[in-house]
Amino acid sequence: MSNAVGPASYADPPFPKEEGLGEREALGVASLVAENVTFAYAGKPVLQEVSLELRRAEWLALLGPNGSGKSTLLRVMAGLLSPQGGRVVLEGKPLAKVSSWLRGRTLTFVPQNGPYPEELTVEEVVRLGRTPHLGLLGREGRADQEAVVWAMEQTQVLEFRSRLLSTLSGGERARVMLARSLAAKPKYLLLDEPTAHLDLHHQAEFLCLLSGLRSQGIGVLTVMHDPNLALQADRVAFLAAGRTVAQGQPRGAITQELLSQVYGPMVRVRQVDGQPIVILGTNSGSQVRAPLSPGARGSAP
Amino acid sequence: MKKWIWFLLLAVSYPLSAIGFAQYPKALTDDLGRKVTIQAEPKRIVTMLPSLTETLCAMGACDRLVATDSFSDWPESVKKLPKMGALFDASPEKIVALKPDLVLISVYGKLQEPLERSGIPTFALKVESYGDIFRTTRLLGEILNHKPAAERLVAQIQQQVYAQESRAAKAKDRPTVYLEIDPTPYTVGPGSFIGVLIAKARGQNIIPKELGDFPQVSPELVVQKNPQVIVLTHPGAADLAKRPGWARLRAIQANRVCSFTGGPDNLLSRPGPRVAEGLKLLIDCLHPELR
Amino acid sequence: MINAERQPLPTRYASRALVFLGLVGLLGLALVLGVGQGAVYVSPGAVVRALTGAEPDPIVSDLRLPRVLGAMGVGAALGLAGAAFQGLFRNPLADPYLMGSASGAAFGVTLAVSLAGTLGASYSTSQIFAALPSYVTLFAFAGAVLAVAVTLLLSGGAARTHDLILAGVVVGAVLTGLTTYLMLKDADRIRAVMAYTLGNFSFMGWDGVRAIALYLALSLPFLWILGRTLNALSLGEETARSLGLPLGGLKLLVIGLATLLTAASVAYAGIIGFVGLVAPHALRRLVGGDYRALLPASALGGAVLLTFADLLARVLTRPAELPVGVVTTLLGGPFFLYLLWRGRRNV
Repeated sequence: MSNAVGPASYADPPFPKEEGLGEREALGVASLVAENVTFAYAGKPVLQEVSLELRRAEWLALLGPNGSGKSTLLRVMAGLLSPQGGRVVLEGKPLAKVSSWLRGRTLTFVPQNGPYPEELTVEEVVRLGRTPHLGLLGREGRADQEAVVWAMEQTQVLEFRSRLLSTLSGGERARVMLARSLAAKPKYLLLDEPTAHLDLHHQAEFLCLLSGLRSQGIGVLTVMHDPNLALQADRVAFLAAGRTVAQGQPRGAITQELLSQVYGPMVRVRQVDGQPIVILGTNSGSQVRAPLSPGARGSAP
Repeated sequence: MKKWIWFLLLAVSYPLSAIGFAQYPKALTDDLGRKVTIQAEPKRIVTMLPSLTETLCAMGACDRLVATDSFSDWPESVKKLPKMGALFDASPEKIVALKPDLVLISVYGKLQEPLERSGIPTFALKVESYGDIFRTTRLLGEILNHKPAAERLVAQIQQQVYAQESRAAKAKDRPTVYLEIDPTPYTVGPGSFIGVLIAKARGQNIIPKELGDFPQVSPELVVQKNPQVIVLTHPGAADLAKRPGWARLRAIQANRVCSFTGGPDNLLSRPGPRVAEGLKLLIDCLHPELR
Repeated sequence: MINAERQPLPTRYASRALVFLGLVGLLGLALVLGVGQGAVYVSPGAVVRALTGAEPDPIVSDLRLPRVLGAMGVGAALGLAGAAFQGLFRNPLADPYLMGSASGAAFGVTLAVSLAGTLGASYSTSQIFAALPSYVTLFAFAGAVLAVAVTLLLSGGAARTHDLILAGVVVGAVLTGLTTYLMLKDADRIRAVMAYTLGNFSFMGWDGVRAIALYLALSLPFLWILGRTLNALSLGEETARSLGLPLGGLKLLVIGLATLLTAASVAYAGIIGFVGLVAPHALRRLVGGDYRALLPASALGGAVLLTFADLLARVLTRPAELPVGVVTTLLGGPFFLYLLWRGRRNV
């Protein structure tokens, strides 16, 4: 988090003017909001009345155990799944009413394990990110080329832009997919487990990248497993059994009680250098499992 | 020790059989190479090839037929017999249910297996070439123990064929002929049954012998050979001129296309007792001036 | 920030142009050989004189030229359809047989022949090859569309690739069974239809060439436009939708165009296997996975492949012929097995 990108670069142009929702008043509500979203797969409830707000220029980390519904919530907010109850609102407009091209330009989504097009080059993949700007018939222009180069620079894949995806490592592929999503110059970035394939070095690079994107006004929502990485986020939200159990500043939300309740008694929070870190303890049979009362929840905004 | 008795019997049987005395059991080799023993004179026969039906009836044994294959339609009397299917859809069950004492089958249908399992004797025959007509007629004579009838039939067919041949001998030319049995296009080589008839009708088959008896040929070959007469045994005459490049063929320009369908084509496709009638059709087609 | 200057185009784009040049060259060679060689011998001089119109030769101008062009057209249609199906289903083993579309088209043709045989006495099977009536194509298309519709119904939409392929195989098998039944029922025509199902260019005339060219001209631009959609699909269905692509309609359009191409090929030349599998697969190695390059390359490759296969079919046993489907199957079968073997080894 060293290279704090100052407010100066906020004026940098990832967002040309015409790329808004067109409605001036819509821009007043600069957020992507899930309102009381309920979703069920084949009758099995996955999300129950979940509300979550992703604002621009913030990083929101979505945590929770396996099967808690994080990835489903991400897809609902990306407009890929339609909720059975509640709705998703993009800058004041119901997402279901936003055209798919505009949706694709405004918020981009990166799945955890996409199929990787082995026979495409890095650049060809990143160019695909421009699809929502080009539509079916559009021809790539200078702006598209610049956005593609910019996205490859941000994710440091520019130097191997001509290599085939089949020749890349898992971490490199993950960065290419991130570059693909950035090439659309979105306002909101929805990432499913973006750090899963990254080594420590690239995790650090990734955090830098996120902070850079935040400072350029992009709202980033990441589904993660590692609470320590999530501690770097602006806000965290915890999902358990299809409900939000906590939301707020990482330091306030990631508490011993919450983690014990969500992950079980073996997860501990410790202070190191004044920073909380989450560790796994195996010798703590004595750990109390305090049930979480509603009042103990993190300060929801 | 008993050998001499058999020898004696055999010696006596030969003249006896000539006058129609029963000589059963009788061991014969069928066209699948099997030794088949006919236990007694067959009285309930099923034929699974139209040419066999026709030969049997021409020998005067029509009354012994209890069923035929689905294509047998000559003579008139066999039309009302039960139909047992054909090469690809024969019904062994129906045949067994009729309790025949002999089933004359084609060498191709594999009918012998289910029928022999059910204890029904089968005799396989291959009737394809011109010579097969006479060979099978004589074989059927052996089976029925009716050699004189078989010989009479052979002589009669040969005489009819000879009569047609002498008629054809008066023809002034020997036109080149392309005979098509199926539009994909399959044709006939000179060695085949129809190929022999073409030669007897004083026509020249454009197909070289090396291609075999029933080759699928390239239309290019037909266009190159440019036959004077085209004979079809399928109903596609109207389409010939629409084939690419065929409109300029001599046969089509001169309208010398003979199409035999729905009955007459059987005369050309069945190596049986009516071969001379088929030959007559061909001669009329190749040499209209002789009509 | 860093090097904002344009990099030169990657080398693969240069080699792509070379591949296209090579394909066009091969196609030219196939045309020359295809017109020059055949069941009967025509001297090169005579071929040239016939082509320039100096000395007409029906074998060259009425038989060989349309035949070679027809094989090219059908090959291009099959290569294109194969590439589209492979992209759509992200399955390198997909070809027009998948989804039962080829079997459906063959069933349609057989049904047309069978119905016409009982309804109108004047009809004959030679019409399939000689002067193909448009309704046979119509039947082929209807059969193919029906097969695809049933396949989609069985697999619950095109979303689940594995279900789709499985359903396609089942539908194809059932339709092949029905086709065989019709053929057996119609024993008089059995050989005609049997030969037809093996693929045949014997009677490809200028009508056929014109029709195939029309279908190609209709489909190629649309499919090329859909190339970007196919590229996006290689990122997975979810990502493709997140890019804003209205996938439902686009996928149906791809299926419809590929099915049309398959049906036209089947109606004019019978079932010719493996061209739609081999051509896109081989060219994917050479031009990469960008469908805007791969689709036209597969069309060219399919044309080259089938023209040479037809040439082999004509000269191997001349002056008799082999069904071209036998040649492509003999060439393509081992290739398919190799792909399966390699796929298994990689897993």
